[in-house]
Amino acid sequence: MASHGVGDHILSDSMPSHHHHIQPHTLHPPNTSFINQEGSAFDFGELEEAIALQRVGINNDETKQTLYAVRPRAATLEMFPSWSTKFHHTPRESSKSEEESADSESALNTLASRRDTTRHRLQPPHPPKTQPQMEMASASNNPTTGITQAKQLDAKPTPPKRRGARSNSDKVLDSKAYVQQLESSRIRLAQLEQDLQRARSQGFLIGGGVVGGNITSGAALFDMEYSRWLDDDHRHMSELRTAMQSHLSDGELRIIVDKYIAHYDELFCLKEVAAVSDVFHLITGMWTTPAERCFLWMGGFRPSDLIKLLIAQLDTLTEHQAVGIYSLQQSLQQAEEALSQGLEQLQQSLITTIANCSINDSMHHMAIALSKLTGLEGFVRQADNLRQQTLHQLRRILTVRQAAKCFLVIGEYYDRLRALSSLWASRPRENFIADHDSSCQTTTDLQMVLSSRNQFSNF
Amino acid sequence: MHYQTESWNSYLPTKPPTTDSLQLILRLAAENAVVIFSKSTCCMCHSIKRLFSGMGVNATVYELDEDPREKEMEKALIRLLGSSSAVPVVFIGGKLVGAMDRVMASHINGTLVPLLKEAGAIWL
Repeated sequence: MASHGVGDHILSDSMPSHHHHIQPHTLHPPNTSFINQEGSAFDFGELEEAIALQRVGINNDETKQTLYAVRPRAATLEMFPSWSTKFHHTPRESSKSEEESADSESALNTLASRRDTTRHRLQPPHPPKTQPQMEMASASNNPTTGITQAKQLDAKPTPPKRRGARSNSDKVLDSKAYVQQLESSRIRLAQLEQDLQRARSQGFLIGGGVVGGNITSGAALFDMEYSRWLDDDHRHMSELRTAMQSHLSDGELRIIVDKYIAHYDELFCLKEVAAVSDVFHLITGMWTTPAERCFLWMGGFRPSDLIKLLIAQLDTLTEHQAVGIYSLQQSLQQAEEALSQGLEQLQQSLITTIANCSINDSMHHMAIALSKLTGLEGFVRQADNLRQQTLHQLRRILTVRQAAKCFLVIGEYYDRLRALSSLWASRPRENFIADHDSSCQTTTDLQMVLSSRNQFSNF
Repeated sequence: MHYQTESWNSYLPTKPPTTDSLQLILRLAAENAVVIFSKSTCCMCHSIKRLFSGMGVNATVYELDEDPREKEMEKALIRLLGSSSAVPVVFIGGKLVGAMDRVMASHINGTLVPLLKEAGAIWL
């Protein structure tokens, strides 16, 4: 490309030579790739006026100063970051711009995928020479002319050019491209949300436990220890599994089972420390996965649920053992009921205290409320105590082999519950127009598969 | 030796407060099959009361905050238990069982019900 002055060397660097429609002194209808991808949502009127005004008073590079006056409008440009990035034709982005200009569709895709990386370029300190001009150019209805004018403003005085009209088909193309861009951004956003949810459910986000909230140091510490405990749990479980399969002696199995109980005792120790530093973190279940949180009782699993889970698995019980298990279940239900009622009374009295905070007496009432909140700690501790006692009692009632099987069942159950959480988080959503039909399709596909399977089962 | 009448229901010999309160507690504990020392504002006490009533036990409850000798009895109970919280404390058959965690543990490991039966607090 011939050099046309200072201004257009930027474009010419970025554009491959076959994109001659961006030459400064020609006015082709904007069938250029990326430039055409402006939507119709912009009100370019004001900008056009500004450009026109600038053009009138322009003779030299001093106009760059006045161009900055239009920059505040750049804020609106940041709504469509991919657009701004198109026009950041600095030498450092020259390679990317080449890709952009290749094809309308592919440009969209590359833009959508690079949006995350290039978005940060929205508000960087631009090299003053061409950036504002480029941004303005991007915003104008007639991009070709806009860029043309911008480059002219920078370079040297040239006669103003006639603006090319945009055909209807161009406008239709533009709006289609715009809609496509929106959809791809939406998909990307949903993917990011899913990734975030998955990571959170796996407890990897220590600083981001609550969206927009702060996680206390006690809670962060506990989360870290808990994730380590979970890794240990997997190790113990696989040890138990291999021990069961390899038919070890009772003595060796007992060692493994006792180690597993000690492993749980460790967890209850950790929880005791966490209850002192941050009881809300425990009682709201922010340390667990969402599915576990659904069944949360006083900061952890409900011990009687454990027995329900195990009763089905324990088929070879002696009468003495059966009596033991059923009385354990009954005592657990009574104990849980008592603790739940105590906690409810605590909540009621807290509500009354906070409700009765008068203007004169508020500090006094808040102090009372604070002292009542310390009671929460006690309940979480008692609930954990109940859990710990349950595991120990199970160990006492059952034989070593039965206990090993039970603990394996318990471990696998919670593993599956946690996996359910992450599966749920990463399930395909039916929020998008684009995806809606496909998900409907999968549902009908599934029905077809099931019905065909039913047919075959008759044979 | 002179006896001091309380607004309560018992005659007490005057002795140094601590031993006095401890003696009082132990004496009260021996009077009934199941004795619970509690406070009306304490929610954990509410829990333990519910636990026993859920089992069909008619426990005798002494609310410390309704007693003039609250402070001393509290101190005595703390010393007895070795814990920072005075209430709730449970005595069965005159013998100390302990605070909430001990009661819960004994219920889970199946020793509470026999104890209650022995004291005559429940019948099968």
